[in-house]
Amino acid sequence: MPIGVDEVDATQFDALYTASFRRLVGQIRAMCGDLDEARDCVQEAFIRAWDHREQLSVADSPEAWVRRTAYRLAVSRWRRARRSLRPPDRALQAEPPPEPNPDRVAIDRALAQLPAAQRRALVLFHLCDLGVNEIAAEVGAPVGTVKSQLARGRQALARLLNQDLEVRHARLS
Amino acid sequence: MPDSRDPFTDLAKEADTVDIPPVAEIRRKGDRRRTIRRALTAVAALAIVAALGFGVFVAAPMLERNRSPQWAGTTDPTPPPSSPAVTAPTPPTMDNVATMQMVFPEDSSMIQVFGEYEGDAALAGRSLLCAPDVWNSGSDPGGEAATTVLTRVMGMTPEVPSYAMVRGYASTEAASAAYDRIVAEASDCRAQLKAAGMSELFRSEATPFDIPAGTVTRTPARAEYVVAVGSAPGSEMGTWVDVLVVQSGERIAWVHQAYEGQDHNCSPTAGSQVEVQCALPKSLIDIARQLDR
Repeated sequence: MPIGVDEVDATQFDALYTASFRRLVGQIRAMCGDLDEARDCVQEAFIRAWDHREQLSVADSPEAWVRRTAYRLAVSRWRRARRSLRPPDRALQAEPPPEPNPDRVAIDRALAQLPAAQRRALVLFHLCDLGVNEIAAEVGAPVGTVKSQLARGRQALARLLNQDLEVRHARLS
Repeated sequence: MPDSRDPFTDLAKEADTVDIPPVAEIRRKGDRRRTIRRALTAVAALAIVAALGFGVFVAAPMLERNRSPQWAGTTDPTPPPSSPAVTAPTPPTMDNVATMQMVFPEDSSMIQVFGEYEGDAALAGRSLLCAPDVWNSGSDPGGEAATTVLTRVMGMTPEVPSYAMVRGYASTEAASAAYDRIVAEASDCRAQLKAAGMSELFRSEATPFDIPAGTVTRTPARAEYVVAVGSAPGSEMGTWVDVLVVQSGERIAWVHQAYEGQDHNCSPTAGSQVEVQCALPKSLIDIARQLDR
């Protein structure tokens, strides 16, 4: 979305918000593992984006600015501490969510076992379709570090997913 | 390893049905933070300036009382501002709109919220009794447009809705003018009741309320509770309209209920030996605090 040199106006912001909200929730969900938390963090990130819209106007990618902010919120230790104090029925729903399919459970479990930096790099590469240089800019790390994180993350993921598939196959036989 | 894009895509698809909060509410909350952040920055800057000014004044030679303080030792002779910087009013959000517990303080267990609206969309296509005519026609009372209008519609059934509205204005003067007009039109809605077929038994009672000091932070702070009733020829039932209007600075809260009945069965003020206090005046303090927060 084109952002001019001047401060972002409401029309530009609304267009960014409408086009990217769900996409960003999905990306943050893949990074942090919790859909409700991802939604809260993305919503908060957009509120901050409008508050600091001068920064948004000069950012190379406003969507990346929001994603970075949402991710930092999602991994915030303070936020995690507050979550642990919330009652278990915080997210009330009229109907229980559908049971996730086994493959989704497997990838979720596997991602949760990766170091946060590897997980984030994998999501940015495979889900957000960013190149290595773009990932390096977004996470603030050298390109070589990002390449290493991607390689190690893929190896670990392959090992974890194959293990899970082997366990399921054994149970069915 | 199979194509690693698929499992990630599968995870992301969970977000396809996530509710998207209204973007206007996001911008309102962002504006609110921006206003507070800038106000705090201005206050901090003034504190530093005042401290510097006081120190320089003491070090300077004794001056006559009618001379303004000199900023000796600085190249910029600009004197400190004599009053705090004026900042734009903080726009209200849905958090400032009266809740169903406030509108139905006796028992809200059967009440549900039917919708939340921005602008005058909540009233579109409706002609609310004892509401300003210009609202019913799609514009704004008071001579100046409200900068923010937020409405929560609620009740037991959609056929008999209650309205809780907050209107934000650019200045307290604009809000005060709007308040006066809203109260005036609620107090004399005979024409509207007559147009709705209720040409008999028109009565209207307006009760002003003082908002206790310390309840809200903005000024002026005032409230008025209006009850109007009309009935159709030959009918034993009347249509009753309760309206509560609260002003806190540049904001106005407006709560509206209309229903049929044979009697009002309550008193605007507490302490009556024969009647309980009416619901809206009973919730006045809570509604005022909600408006002001």
